[in-house]
Formats: sequence, structure tokens, C-alpha cells
Amino acid sequence: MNGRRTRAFLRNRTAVAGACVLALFVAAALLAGVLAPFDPESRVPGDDVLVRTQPSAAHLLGTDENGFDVFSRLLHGARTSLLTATASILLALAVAVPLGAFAGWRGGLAESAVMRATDVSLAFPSIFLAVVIAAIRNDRSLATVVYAVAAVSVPPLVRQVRAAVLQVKAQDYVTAAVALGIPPWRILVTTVLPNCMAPILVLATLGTGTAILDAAGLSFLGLGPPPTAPEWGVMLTNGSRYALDPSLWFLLVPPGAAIALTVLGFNLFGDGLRDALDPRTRV
Amino acid sequence: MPRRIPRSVAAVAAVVATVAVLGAACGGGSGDRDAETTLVFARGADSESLDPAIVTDGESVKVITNVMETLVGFRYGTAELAPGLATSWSASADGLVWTFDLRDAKFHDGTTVDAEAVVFSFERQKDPAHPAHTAECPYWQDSFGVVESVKAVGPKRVEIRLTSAFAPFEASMALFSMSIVSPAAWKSEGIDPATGKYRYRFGEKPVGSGPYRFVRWTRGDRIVLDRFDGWWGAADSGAAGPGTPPSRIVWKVVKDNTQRLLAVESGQADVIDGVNPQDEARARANPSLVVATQPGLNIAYFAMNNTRKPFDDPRVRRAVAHLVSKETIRKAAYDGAGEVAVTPVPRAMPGWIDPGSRPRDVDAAKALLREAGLPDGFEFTILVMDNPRPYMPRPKDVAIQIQQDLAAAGIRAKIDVKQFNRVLDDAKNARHDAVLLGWSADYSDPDNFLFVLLDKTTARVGSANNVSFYTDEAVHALLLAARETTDRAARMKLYAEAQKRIHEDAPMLPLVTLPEIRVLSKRVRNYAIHPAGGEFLGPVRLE
Repeated sequence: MNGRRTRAFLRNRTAVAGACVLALFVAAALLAGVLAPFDPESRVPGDDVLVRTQPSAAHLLGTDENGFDVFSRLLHGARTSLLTATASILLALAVAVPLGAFAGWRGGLAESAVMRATDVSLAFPSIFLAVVIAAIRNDRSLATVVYAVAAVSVPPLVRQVRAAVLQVKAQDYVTAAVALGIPPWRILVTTVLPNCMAPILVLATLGTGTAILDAAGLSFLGLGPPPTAPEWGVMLTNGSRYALDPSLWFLLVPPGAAIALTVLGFNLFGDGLRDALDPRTRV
Repeated sequence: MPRRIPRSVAAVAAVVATVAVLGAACGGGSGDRDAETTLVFARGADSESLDPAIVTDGESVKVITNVMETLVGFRYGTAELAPGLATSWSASADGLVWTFDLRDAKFHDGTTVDAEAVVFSFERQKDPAHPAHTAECPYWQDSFGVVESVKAVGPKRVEIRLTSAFAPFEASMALFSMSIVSPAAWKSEGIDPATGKYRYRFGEKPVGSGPYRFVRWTRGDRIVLDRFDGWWGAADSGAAGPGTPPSRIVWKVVKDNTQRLLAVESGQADVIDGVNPQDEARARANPSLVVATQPGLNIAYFAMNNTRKPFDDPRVRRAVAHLVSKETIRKAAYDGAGEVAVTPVPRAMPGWIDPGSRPRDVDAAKALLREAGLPDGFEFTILVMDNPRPYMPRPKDVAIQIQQDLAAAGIRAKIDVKQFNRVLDDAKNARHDAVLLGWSADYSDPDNFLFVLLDKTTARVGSANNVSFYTDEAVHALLLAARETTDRAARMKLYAEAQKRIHEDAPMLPLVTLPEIRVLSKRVRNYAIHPAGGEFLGPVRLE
């Protein structure tokens, strides 16, 4: 981003708010090991097992139904979410960028084949596909979540990458490169793709938000990581059993709010990024 | 390019829409109440089949006990045996010949309940070639191998011969699988020459002699039963107090526990089961609802595979027993409901004893592990089902507590969550280190727990109920002797002996017994929970 675009981004207040939320989230994820007062996968040590105790100085968000410290699990949950979401988006990009670029650049039958395939998979709600993939793998681990979320993130990314490539392909400098006799694959890699980076970056950011939501959804449905793993979706499922008891809000509200805020943060940040980078919304 | 709606806004809109749809779904459904005299029983799952000989699931039994009856029944709301379709019965001195005398009763199709119907009902389970033997009969196979013959010795008298004395026989005749079915219904559509079996699909439209007759079944949604005016017990239960018997009973499926509570709160259901422990207080606080409870005849247990290292060493199993705090499990994974179990027999069952307990004692456990050559503990996997069962509302959390308790002595437990049928399959085939399971009583006798769960003959790999694979000869001898002893006090002594020995060996850890809980609307009268399963609504009245 050059200076003008940075200024445009900074003028966008909601985008800055999103960036702040994200900074908080990333900080929590990176510093979870230091900040968390307790081991997120063990009962709080002591003679008595503290089951569902109210928030206190020692336990800022109380303890859960298994006697684990909710605050510590929340912090480590940020790490889990960041890891799964980033890993699945990178994995998805690794598949979607070559596929989309190939389809957009090559055109013809290859393009039709790729695009019809993405159309078909887009016809299904992403969470259903993710559930199917997780159920087929039938191994409760974070890796399963990463694969499932990556798989459902691929089709929309392929579409957008192809659109970006089509746009750049029509530019005069590409025509010039072709006229100079540079081999097509080289033009694609050295000229076209670098000029698609901006939209891809926006997509990746927005996609990370969706990935967090999908991962939490999978865990919520019991298809996620092992039962003691600190994961917001798992915390939300367990807490939802106490939804009728308002005094146990600390089992339900913190993971729910964490998911909502983080996803919102990614979306606001991504929207701001797009506005700043998109030449047609230049102020 | 038009400016897109930000995804965040779209997400919020989606949530709002979902909530609105859900709200509409809860508010609707006014078609549930056909008439003021209909009783709606809401439960978590549909029945599998209504053929008593082949089902094993509780949801099927609930409906079956209202449509069909057994020779021996229960005094309403107790585990005490009482006359059913038989008014009296007696055993020969050696306990090998049992004679049952039948009362005057009619099936819903108008035919008479006679000795031939009883022979038909039992013979079809015993003989795989019988035209009414349409599938495997698991209960017959497990518990009635001792039956040598069933004969009609008069129009209303049946004689059953056993190959060996079986003291719990009387109690086992009250088991739902021994329900008397209408032979006329079975025969009404003839035999299919291709299979040699009757064409009539009895499991989908059963005909018996119970207080309610089958009307229709919408799979996954509801089963409708209507009052049978010719029921012999009507006169008997007529003295049951104010109100009239429901003219119709609807068994409605409402999957979610909380939704079911909301259904009875809003008057869409009259009786519900499967109440979350944490929702019980909410129901109790509601003046228009009644909470009924009964001590449970069930037990949740942690079975260690006694044929696998290191659980083949009783010292290791005792160490585990010293580490696991059942009280913590009850507090955490049962939300404080139920009571801690000290022996594999539930407290409300005759023959229960307290064989002593092992308090949580990490030092004692470590000493035992050192003796067994495992000073640094060991690693193993706990096999856990992913769905709640009547004896265990949150299996995963029970596993987590055990894992945390064992860590104190360096034992590292991994938790492997699988679907219930896969857990059962692995456990029956001895493919597990340890497993969390439970048992609910089929008949009111300690034999139903001790023999089924811990005798060496039920530890057959492939079809084991004894998933600890505990094959102690002394316990086997005690349990067999108890089966053959007719003197009650002597039998109970044998069961006490067996329980002490089992406690010493610790092949498995009994964990918690859950009470039965139902929430009823105020207009339901004279309802009693059946301690041994089923949901008999014959004497129930509506106001």
C-alpha cells in the first residue's frame, strides 16, 4: 500500500476499528501462553474441583462445567482459531490461485470445466460440505477442521481469482507483453498475478473471518477437535446447555462474543482494505 | 461494480432471520391437541419397531407396554410383581415346571387371549423357522435359553418347562419381550410363500390386549394410540381417583431436551422425559407443572478391558479405583444429579449392598502402581460415545473427569469419541482399553446386572455384555448358584458375596445412578414412573 491508500484506509473509521479488534485478537493468540493464568486443558489445580464457579479475581471468567478456567481457555481459543483459520485459508489459496489463474488465463474448455465445478460446489451451503468432509475423515482433530474449512473456501476463491485475472488480462501492458513474444506462463506469473495481489489479499482477509466461523461451526456440531481442546466452538456448545440459566452467562457469552467480534473484525478490516485498494472507489 | 453489502451485515441479517424462523416454529404447531382428552407424551426419539420380540431400545418399549401385556405384571409404579394376563402361577418343587393360569381378556381385534396365544408368542421367539419369527430375538437369546418347552395344557392354562432351575424366571416373565401378541393378527394376511413368513407387518401395526390400541404411526414424528374399551384392567384402575382416562395418547418426538421442556410449559405436551438435570429446578419452580421422580434402576460404569495390559493386573485396576472421584463426576458431568454408585447393582434394586468404597487416595494409587511395576503410570485410551444415554447425560465430560483424576498418578488417558453403535461394536469385540457405558434394568433382579455385566459367560468376544471381560470363576460360581436357588434370603446372600468379590477385584468402576425424571402438566393425574423401564399409562387420568 502506498501513502495515499494508507491514508484512505485510516480515514475509514470502521476499518480502523476492525483493525484494532484484529490486533487484540492476534495479541491474545500470540501471548496466550504468557497471559493465561491456568493450563487450558487441565482442571484448575487444588483440593476441590471448581465446577461452574462465578467469575472472581482468581478466575476472571469463572470456571466451566469441567472445572477448567474459562479465561485461559478463551485466550488459547484465540490461538486455536487463528491457527486453524490461517492454515485453512493458506491451504485454500494454494489450491485456488493456480486453479483460478489457469481458468482465467487459458479460457475455453478448461475455464468452463473449472467454473462449472465451482458453480456446483457453490450451490451447497459451505457448512454442509464441511460437515460432510469432517464426517468422511472421521478423525476428531484440528487437521480435520483445517481440511474441511479449506475445502469449502476454495470455490469462491477460485471464482474471484479468475475474475481478477480476466480483468488484468485485458490491460494494455499484458497485450504488450504478448506482442513482445514473452511465453504466456511467464506473463501470467510475472505480470498478471502480481497485479491481482490486491483483490486476493482482500479475499484472504474476508475468507479468514468466514473460516473462523466455519471452524467454530464444525466444533459446535461436535465434528471438531478432541473434547478438551480450547476452541471457541467447543466452548459455545458446552455453554449452550446452560442457556436457560442466566447466572451462568460466563459459559456462553465469552466464546460467543469472541467469535462474533473476531469475525466482525476480519470483515470490517477486509471491507476497508478493499475500499482502499479498489481504484474505482478511490475518494 | 455495485457496492456489496458488507458480509458482517449479511451475517447479522442471517442470524436475525434464523431466530425469527425458529420463533415461528416454536409458536406454531397448534394442531397437536386433537381433543381435550388427548394425552401428548413428548420424548427424544422415535421407536424402532413395535414388535416386542425384536426390539431392544427404550423408546420402542414405552409404546409396546401400552399396547401389549405380559403374563406377569407389576404393581403400578413399583418393581413389585403382580398378576398380569396370568392371575396366578406356581413352580414345581425343583423349579423346572412353571404353570400359569390366564384371566379373561380380549385382544384389540376381538379374539380371546388364550393358552394358544401364549404358546404362539413364545414359540415364535424360540423357533427361528416359525412363520412369525421375522428377525433375531435378542432378549430371548440372552435370557430364555433355559426354556425347554411351552405347552397349552388347557384353554386357559400354560405350562413352561425349563432345562435348569432359573430363580429370576418369574421376574423375567414380566419383561416386555414376553408380551402376548394376537395370533389372529399375525395370520390375517397369510404366509408369503417366498419367505415362509407371515405377511402381516406386526412391528408396524401391533395388536395386543393392553389399555391402548394402535391407530397409526408417522415415522420420526408420532405414534397414535386410542383407548381400548375392552381392557380388563379398566375396572381395576377405575378406583384410581378423579378424571377420565385419555381417549387418545400421542407419542410425539421432540429431539432437543430444552425444546421438550418448553413444549410441556406451553401446553403442547402433557408428559415429557429426558429432562436436563440443570432444567429440573426451572420445572419445579413452575406452578402449572409437576415433577415426578423415581430412584433409578440404572448404572453408568467405567469398564477396563481385563484382558489387556495393564488392566489385567488387579493392582492397576485398584489404583484406578483409588484415583477416580465419583463425586466429582457426579458434580461436573451430571450437574449434581443422581447418586454415586458403590456396586454394579443400583441401590433401589433388591440385593444391593455397600461393599465399602475406595476414597480418592493418590498415594495409595501410586504405591499400587509401583507394586505393579508401573511407577511412572501408563497411557491408554478411553472409548466414549458422542450422544447422551439415560444413565449418562454427558459421556464426554465423564471421560474428561476420569482423565483429569488419573493424571495425578501419571496415568495419561486419551479420549476417543465415537458414535454409540461403533462404541458398542468395539467394546463387544474387545477392541478397547477402557470404555464408558451403562445399563438399565430389564427386570427387577440383581441377576440382570451382575450376571449380564460380570459373569464369564457374557464375556464372549463378539457379543459381550461383560465388556470388562472379567471371567472370575468364583464370581461365576456364585452367580450360577444364585440363579438356581429359590430361597430369596439365600440368593441375596450369594449376590452380596459376589458383590464383595467384584469390589475387591475392581474389574470396572460403577459410577453414578440417575433417578428417573418426568415433567407433567398439572392436568395429568395418577401418573407413576415405571421403575423397570417402559411407560405404562393404563391407570393415568386427565382432568
